[in-house]
Amino acid sequence: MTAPDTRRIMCAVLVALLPGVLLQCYWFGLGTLTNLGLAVGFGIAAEFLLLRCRARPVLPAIADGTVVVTCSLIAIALPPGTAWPILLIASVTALGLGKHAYGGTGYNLFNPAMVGYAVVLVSFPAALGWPPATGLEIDAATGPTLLESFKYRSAQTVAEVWQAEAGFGRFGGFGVEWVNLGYLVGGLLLLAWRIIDWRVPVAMLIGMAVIAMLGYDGGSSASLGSPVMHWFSGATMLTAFFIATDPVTCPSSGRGRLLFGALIGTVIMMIRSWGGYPDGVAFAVLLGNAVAPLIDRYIGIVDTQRRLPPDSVG
Amino acid sequence: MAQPMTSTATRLELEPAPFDFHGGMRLDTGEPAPPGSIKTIHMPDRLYIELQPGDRPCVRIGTHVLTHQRLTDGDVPSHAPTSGRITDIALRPSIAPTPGQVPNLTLEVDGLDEAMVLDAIADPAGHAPADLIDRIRDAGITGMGGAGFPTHRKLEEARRSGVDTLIVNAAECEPGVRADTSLLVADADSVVQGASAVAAIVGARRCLVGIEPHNADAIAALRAALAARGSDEVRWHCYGLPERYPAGSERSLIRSLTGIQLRPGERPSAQGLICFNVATLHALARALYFGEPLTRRVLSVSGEGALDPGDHWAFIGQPIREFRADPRFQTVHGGPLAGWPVGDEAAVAKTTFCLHFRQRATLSEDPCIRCQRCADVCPEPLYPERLLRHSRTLNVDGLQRDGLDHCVECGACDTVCPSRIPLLATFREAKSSLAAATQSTARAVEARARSRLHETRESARQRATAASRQARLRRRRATHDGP
Repeated sequence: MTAPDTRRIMCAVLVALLPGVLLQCYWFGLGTLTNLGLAVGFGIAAEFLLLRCRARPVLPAIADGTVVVTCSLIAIALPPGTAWPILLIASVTALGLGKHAYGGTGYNLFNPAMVGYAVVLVSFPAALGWPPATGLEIDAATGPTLLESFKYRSAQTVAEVWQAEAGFGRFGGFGVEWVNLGYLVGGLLLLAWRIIDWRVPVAMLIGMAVIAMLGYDGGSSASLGSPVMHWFSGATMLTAFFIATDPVTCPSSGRGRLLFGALIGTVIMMIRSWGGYPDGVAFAVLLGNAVAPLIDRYIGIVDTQRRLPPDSVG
Repeated sequence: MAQPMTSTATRLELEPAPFDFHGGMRLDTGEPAPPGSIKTIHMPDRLYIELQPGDRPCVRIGTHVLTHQRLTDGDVPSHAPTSGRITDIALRPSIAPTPGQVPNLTLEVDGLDEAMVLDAIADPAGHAPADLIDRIRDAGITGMGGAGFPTHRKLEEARRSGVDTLIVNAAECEPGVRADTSLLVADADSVVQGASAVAAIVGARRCLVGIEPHNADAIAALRAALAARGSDEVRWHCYGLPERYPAGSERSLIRSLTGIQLRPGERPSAQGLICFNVATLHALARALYFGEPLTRRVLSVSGEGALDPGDHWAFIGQPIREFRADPRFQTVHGGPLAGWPVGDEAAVAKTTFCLHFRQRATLSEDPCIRCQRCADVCPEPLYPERLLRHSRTLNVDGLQRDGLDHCVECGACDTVCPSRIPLLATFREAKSSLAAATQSTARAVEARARSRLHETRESARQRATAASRQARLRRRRATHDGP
């Protein structure tokens, strides 16, 4: 068994992001690439300054690749071609407030990428609407995304809104469904390479499906969408495999991770269905992060005792 | 198991172990080198015999000693590996994981190797178990697999609590170590004799041998020795262990062979088991049949910095720097995974099964990213990442809750850590500071109790004095006020 070091793990994550990123570029234009370049550049600069301020060794911390992964996730989550000041604010907040304020890599309570993303999302809601997917047809119809039209539909049944709106694809959001599929493939790669634990994504997707099925009443105007629609819309797969699985901010025990994933999946569905945002992965992940230590504290103890030999073994 | 209880039913073929242990890992050590012959190292000029706490030297500075002559009295005596003169008793660095100084006897070798006449016995079966245990103690035998528990105490304990199964650990403790394999290939007969003797002493009816299935030479030697041994009432079973580190650690071995998971701190004898490794059984057989005390052992020398890699017969007390090619290399006592660095001045002890010489680490550690790879490989199984956090803050409650005392110090977590964090060393340090804290608390409690006792006694004395003074006063007053 070879022990990969942190840099190898981060490189694997970046490679696994590729299918999703390429599909995102195909459907939404090359704005994602400028996002990536700018966010990673800002992130490395910010990390450099923050480490210098904290009088910590700079080179090993930047070389381990965690900054690149954090900023890449921000860049991917933000709409393509986001204005550079927003990217700057998101990157600096992610690393400063999300990571170094807690003591640096490994000590942060919240997922830094989601801290940065959430801060700009609540600060600049108008600037952060996703453009419709165009694919190769540059002048396709503009319109709201699937989750937006689904959320703000008035008295339409599921079938009606599905037919009426341009934002809908074959089984999820138009274009977005393929991007989600790309991140799913990347996530399966990470599982195959044993970089991430299966529990968080599986529990999260099952949690979403359970809420979706509970709220599905045959497709009336009050009905929630199908599990498949929710799985392949918004940032579901990116969150399930790349964001919620961050080991630093998720519980350490197996059962704790199942609970954590299910919690995030449930909260995502609650925000999408009854909350104030069409998608809500950032808030769901941050909420999950906030309770992760609690889960470790209580589930963790039970779990440790289960793993340890019971007194009755004879 | 359904075999009849006769020696003819002994299964000599290797079966896979019936159970498995948690975690562990496959290690890619390349093609395992075939066990070569055991090399004999040249006799050094000086030997340094470490004294254990409670040992009293029974020689003086200037005493001339013979080979195998007893040097100390105590729970486990030490003996002279060769003849020479005791020139010094001085503090030298110990080979324990916690650095410290211990008294050592310096034996200046005269090169004549004048031996004492040993008290050999032809057939231990004719002797009472207590008599045999005395012989084992007098030969200074301790566990040679690492922990160094006195063998006579283990046997006495097993006799007290009743043991029906002897487990022979024929698996190497660590990858890259081949000392036990080489010893089996060289002299499996003595190992089997030792095992039979132990079974007779403690009354074990069955003997389970755990061995790595790839050690074909050792398995063949063991089978030949088993086939050649005299008849006894012990059922023998040979099992091939799972090929994962740490299959050879006592607790994992017991788990794999019997399915029993020992509780932390629980001795195997509490479950009716007694466990010996090959080297100890060999030394025990030498002691019983030839009266030969434990003064040398087989150890593996490995790593880039080894002068002559391979398995050696080394003398107890031999300076370890004689096995090293170059002082730039770091000396690790024990195997490459669970071993610990020791200083240049340390000497081979009865527990030294391997000396590993490696390049000093150059890459610094990264922060922990809580990836839980350590938890996946922990054989106990614990969450080393949590223990690391608790260790760094010396959070006693946390360490207890997450089970630091269950750690078997196998070092599997160190090997898989992507951030190169020295987990094992941190845990050893935390364990020793916890032990020190407990000890000082115990001392403080004792002192407080003593002082309270003293105060009670003092106040009682004062009260008694005051009472008697008043009584005197009253008497005097009574006489003055009298008529």
